Amino acid sequence: MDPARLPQTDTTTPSDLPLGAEAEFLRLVSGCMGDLRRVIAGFVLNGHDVDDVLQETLLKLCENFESYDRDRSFRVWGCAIAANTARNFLKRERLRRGFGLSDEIQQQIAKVRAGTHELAELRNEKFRECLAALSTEQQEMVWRCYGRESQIKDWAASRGLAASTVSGRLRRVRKRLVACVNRKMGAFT
Amino acid sequence: MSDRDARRRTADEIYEIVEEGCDRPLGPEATARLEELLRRDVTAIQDFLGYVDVHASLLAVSATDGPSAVAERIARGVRPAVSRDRNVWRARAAVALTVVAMAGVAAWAPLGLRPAGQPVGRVVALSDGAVWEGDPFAIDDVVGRGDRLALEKGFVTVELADDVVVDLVGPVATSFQPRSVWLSRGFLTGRVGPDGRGFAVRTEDARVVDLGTEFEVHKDYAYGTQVRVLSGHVEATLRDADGEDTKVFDLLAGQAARLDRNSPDDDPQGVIFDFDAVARVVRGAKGKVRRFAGAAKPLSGPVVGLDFRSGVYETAANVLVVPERTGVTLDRPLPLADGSVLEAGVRFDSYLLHFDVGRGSFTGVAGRGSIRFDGSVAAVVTDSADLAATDGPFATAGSVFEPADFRGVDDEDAVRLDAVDGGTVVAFDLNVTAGRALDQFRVLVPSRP
Repeated sequence: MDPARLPQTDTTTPSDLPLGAEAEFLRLVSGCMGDLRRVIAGFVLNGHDVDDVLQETLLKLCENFESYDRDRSFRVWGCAIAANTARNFLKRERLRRGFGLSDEIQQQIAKVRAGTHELAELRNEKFRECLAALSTEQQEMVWRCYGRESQIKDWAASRGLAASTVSGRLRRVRKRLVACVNRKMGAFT
Repeated sequence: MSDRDARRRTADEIYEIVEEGCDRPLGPEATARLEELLRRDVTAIQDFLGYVDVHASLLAVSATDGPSAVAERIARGVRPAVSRDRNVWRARAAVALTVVAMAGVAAWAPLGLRPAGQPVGRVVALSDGAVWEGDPFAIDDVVGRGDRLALEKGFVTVELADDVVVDLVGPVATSFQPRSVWLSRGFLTGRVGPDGRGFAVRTEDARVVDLGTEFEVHKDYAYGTQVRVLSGHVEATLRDADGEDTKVFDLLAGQAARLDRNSPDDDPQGVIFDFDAVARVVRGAKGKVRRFAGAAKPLSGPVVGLDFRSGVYETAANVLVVPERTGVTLDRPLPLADGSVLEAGVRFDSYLLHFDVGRGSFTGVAGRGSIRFDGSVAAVVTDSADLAATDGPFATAGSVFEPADFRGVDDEDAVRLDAVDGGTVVAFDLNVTAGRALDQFRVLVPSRP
């Protein structure tokens, strides 16, 4: 992670947590890593940026874990923090780079997302059906390589392929999944 | 340009920009154009979120960080200036984290007997997580004449008389008769042995008569009936609204046709249904298992990245049959605890059987059943250490397994390779004991094309 992109915080590591809380924290976080990543990628798209924001989110979760209300879902709590962290990241990046989606359109996106939560759940269900319809080889390629450049090189080398070939296949898989989900949802592709 | 065309063009352009953004940060021009497109209307934002969500879901699928990976990730993210006075994470938490929170055991309601008409077949496979529309059926249930089988999701396999096997993939609605199936909507495959010639699939558009073959049929109201032949030969007849035959097509292996009584003059070769995608779900889930009996259930869903540690992937009273890698060859012989040896150079296909009732409430829960393969079984791996030794070569990518030594079959359980029918049947009776809610074993069969 680029340290310049990380806000200054008095960081806590899991081993700083009280005895027992450390194990609980890691168990809870590892149980919802996919959800955290999905929420973040819904804002920032690019894989490197997703990793950076995920890292920042994990640090925040760790710092605030002692205030986490055990009566609430950890997943919901974690995803809310992930969404806030992603939004803040976009603001910082817009200032740093001098361009980005406006606050107004970001708010519009947030409103539409909030208003179509159930639809998004249904899309996610259809996504899993479409994913299951891929060949085992394609599923393995996604699992090992999607959004992970170093893994793409290893995967390509193990099969005597160029990394660009694997990247192209991943793009085609993504396109196919988009079309599959849209078809199942009754939308045009 | 119509509104629909305009919306499609906007959606296509948004898709192209999202595609670019997935691979590298968007530049100022692309960002400005995206903003402009998203300002057009709410549907543009919905399209945008639809594309983004697929990408986000793919990233989520590819990310299965366990506790130790999370700890390492956090440690990497801590800047040295802050972390130097603190303990460096030592992976000890990961070791302490083999226990995962338990959810309660899902209730499993045994299905009652149904009043059946003349028996025409029986259910031989039912996917995990299948959702019925209307009366549910269970493994081994008899299907009677006139019975309606309708699934919202998942798949079911029905074995009929005369060596006919039908797979139904949800959403689908059917009713069964001797030597024929009425397909109201959805997808089915038929595999018909020599004795089953003449078996028919009927829809409101068509009658598809098998002449010794394997074929697939999809019916929906928008495109009528679509047929694809995988092997052999079928006769597909287009019928009009009065039920009169109007056209007959002979379809051979590799051929497909679309028959739509509402558009009888459409090109019959204009097949648009993605047969491969749907059929692969069933083929991938069942592998070479021909019949699932008792508690055995095929997996429905992606096969990679699954967590099989104790208490994580709970199966209630079902024993999940998970197809693993195919065509695996060992570099060196692998001796097993029972004295047998997995020979090097032999190509194997692997299946993991997973039974985990969770730790909430498991008194009296047993997983009894069997699976029958098309050919002979080569080996059954039941010992915990043997399972761990075979995880590497045979498990699918990203699978996570219980590190403790109780995952294998113990004295409370029985797993046997039945000599009947040339060793094609593996029967099991799995029982959980206090503190050991997990049982697994692995079945290896010779790999054949």
